[in-house]
Amino acid sequence: MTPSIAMVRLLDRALRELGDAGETERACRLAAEAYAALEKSNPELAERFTGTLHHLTCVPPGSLQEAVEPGHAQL
Amino acid sequence: MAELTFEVVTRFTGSGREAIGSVETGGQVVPWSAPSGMGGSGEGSSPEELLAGAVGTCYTGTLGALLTRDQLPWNRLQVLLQETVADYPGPKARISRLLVTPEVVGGDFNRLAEYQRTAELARDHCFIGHHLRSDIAYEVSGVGIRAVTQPEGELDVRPLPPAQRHQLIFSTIEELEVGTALTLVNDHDPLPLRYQLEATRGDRFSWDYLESGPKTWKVRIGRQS
Repeated sequence: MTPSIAMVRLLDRALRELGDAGETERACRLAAEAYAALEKSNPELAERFTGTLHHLTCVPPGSLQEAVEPGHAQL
Repeated sequence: MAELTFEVVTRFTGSGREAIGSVETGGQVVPWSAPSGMGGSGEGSSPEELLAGAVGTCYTGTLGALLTRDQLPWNRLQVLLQETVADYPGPKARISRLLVTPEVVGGDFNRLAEYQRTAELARDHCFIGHHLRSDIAYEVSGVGIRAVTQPEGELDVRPLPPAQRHQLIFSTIEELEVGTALTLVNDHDPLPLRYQLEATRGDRFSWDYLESGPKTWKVRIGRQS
């Protein structure tokens, strides 16, 4: 089953906001699980959660950024 | 012009589709049988796989020669050949497609388009491929490039565009032997990768920071199982 792009964007936003609320570790674990769930079936959508992880681990809490487009996420 | 002759000896014992045989070539004996998907015993190789092997070996050798001719760096090649049998079972069953997916270990990531062109040229130059029937689609998939990793070596991804780093790291660490490690060098904390490794590969890899910024991060990633 392939999730819709809208649902992936929503999950992406929710995880960023979870991290922004101080639950960074939980948000990172969930983002990585989302990545793992999509890695084989839809690598482009999975890459969106690579962007989520970068946001969560590199950006100080309180400065939520716009989602990174699939395929443009940084390592 | 000389005429070359090649010989193989095939043997077959038993009866019916479950019989088992052998192919003797180059001093090697390869067992073979009809594939289980076609009602055979599935032991050893199958005529379908041997055909794929003939095309795949010829393609791989041709690709290596062309890469060298074109001065494209490579350390070793791994080529996946997928053979499709269509309209099976029935009288119209036939090999419809051969798809090669080359992987260049030790290639130059910045010259991917050149590798792709050469990979397609290798298909056109493949001697065995010339003898395939014209209704078999003989195609080349996207070329993969993988870094050469020596045990305890370094994988410096800083020169690469961010979009290429992820795939390179995953494919490279998968090549590590159990008990060996590499040092990942990056221009920021690769913590996202750690989360992804744990989610996708459990505890198969260890993770130890050797250097933590502010400009360079080095992480020793070891294969544990």
